[in-house]
Amino acid sequence: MRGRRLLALSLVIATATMFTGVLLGPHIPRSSTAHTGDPRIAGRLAELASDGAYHHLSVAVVTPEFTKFAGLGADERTSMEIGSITKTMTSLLLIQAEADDVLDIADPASMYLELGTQPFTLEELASHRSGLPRVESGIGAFLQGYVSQLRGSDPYTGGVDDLVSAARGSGLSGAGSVSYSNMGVAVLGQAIASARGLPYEQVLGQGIFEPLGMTDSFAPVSSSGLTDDAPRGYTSSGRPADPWTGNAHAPAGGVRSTATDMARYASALLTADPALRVDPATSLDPRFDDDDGGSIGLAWFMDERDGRTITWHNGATGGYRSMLVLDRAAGTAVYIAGDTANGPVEGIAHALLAEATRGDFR
Amino acid sequence: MMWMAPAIGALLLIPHLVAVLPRKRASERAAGKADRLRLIASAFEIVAVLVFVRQLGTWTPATIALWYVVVALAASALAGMMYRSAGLPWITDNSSHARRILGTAAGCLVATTVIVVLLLP
Repeated sequence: MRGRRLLALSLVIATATMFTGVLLGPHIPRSSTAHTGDPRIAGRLAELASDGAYHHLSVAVVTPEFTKFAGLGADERTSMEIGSITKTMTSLLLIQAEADDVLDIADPASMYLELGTQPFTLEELASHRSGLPRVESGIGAFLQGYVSQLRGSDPYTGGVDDLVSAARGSGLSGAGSVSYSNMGVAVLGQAIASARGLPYEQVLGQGIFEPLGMTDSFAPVSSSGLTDDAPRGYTSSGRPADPWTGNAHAPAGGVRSTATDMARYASALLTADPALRVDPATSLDPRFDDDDGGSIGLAWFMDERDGRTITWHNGATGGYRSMLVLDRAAGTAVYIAGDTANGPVEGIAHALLAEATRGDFR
Repeated sequence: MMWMAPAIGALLLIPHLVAVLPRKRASERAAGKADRLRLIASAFEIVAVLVFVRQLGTWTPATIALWYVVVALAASALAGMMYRSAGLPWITDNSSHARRILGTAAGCLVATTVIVVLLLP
């Protein structure tokens, strides 16, 4: 009798565990069914995002004839983290600074920051050829990254002095060949800021956001630059992610923007808008080959797709994914951002760009 | 990488499934290794593993089935522990009671810390 009772109790525990596991199981993001903006693009976006961990998506399609927006649960005014697309803005600031005779892109970065004997130039930083590691190395940085992953928080908490100190002490590996480095572009942004004698976010505002009228774009740099109700994305396990502001790493991925503003940015790049004060081709044109059969300009990557040269940069933060793709020959561009860390947007961007270039959304 | 958290979770849970094996239960009992304190510590570890997998897994429609596999393993282990506990002493006679109690408390504290850190908003 006692054995039966025990068996029944064990089964109850197993059932309760299963029930709790189902009830409190992971949250899988679902694409919002609320379409916004252009119905055709929104419909196509919903098709492309039907298979994956998406929640809210916002898209801008730029062509020589029109700029159209669409979204799923988000619209062209929804603010999202653009992540590493910020690097393309930092490279634009570099060529603006050169045009203003503030620096030369062939200058060693150590001319502007206390980098000791580090030999890399500003151009090498912008083209990921400095030899700096992807992120800061060392046990402290590893543990910090691990805790950030556990907590879903911003891993980039150090100030400019911390960044410069880490870069000064870093070994260089594979200098001269392309090896993606967040640390490198962060150092680049801080070197430009130092050369101009202004904080990075101010250089960015004056160089790009204000001239282009990107009124909803900014680099908060630290959590104090954000309001408490700033939008948050979701981690790959479905938890709300802390905003990534980047601190000293802001030049490598700290901008928040909207589809409206990013369409303006893309359009300015495609048309060499005089408001930029420089020809963006200087950063968009290929300079070096990478190991994947493509090439790299100043931060921008280039690949061949279906016989067309596509210029692109993507972004990923703790809670967002983003992509900006340009078909410079056709004058078309697509920007997309989503608020889930495990919802890849690159394929969607490429598909929409090909369709826009073909004229599907006229 | 998408499979990593569930795979680690499953590997961590497998030793706890010993509790559902009758032969192993008998041999452990005979050796005086098993007691209820050890089962309590195991239960905390199992919950911590579930929280770890839940919070750090990459969850998509394609990977969610793995969550249910891990939950099923945990449910089996917990049910086995319940079933096993009836014939066991609270603390085996051949060990220092104070040391066992402190060790179990420390293990439970570590597991609780993991759970709290991972669940804090």
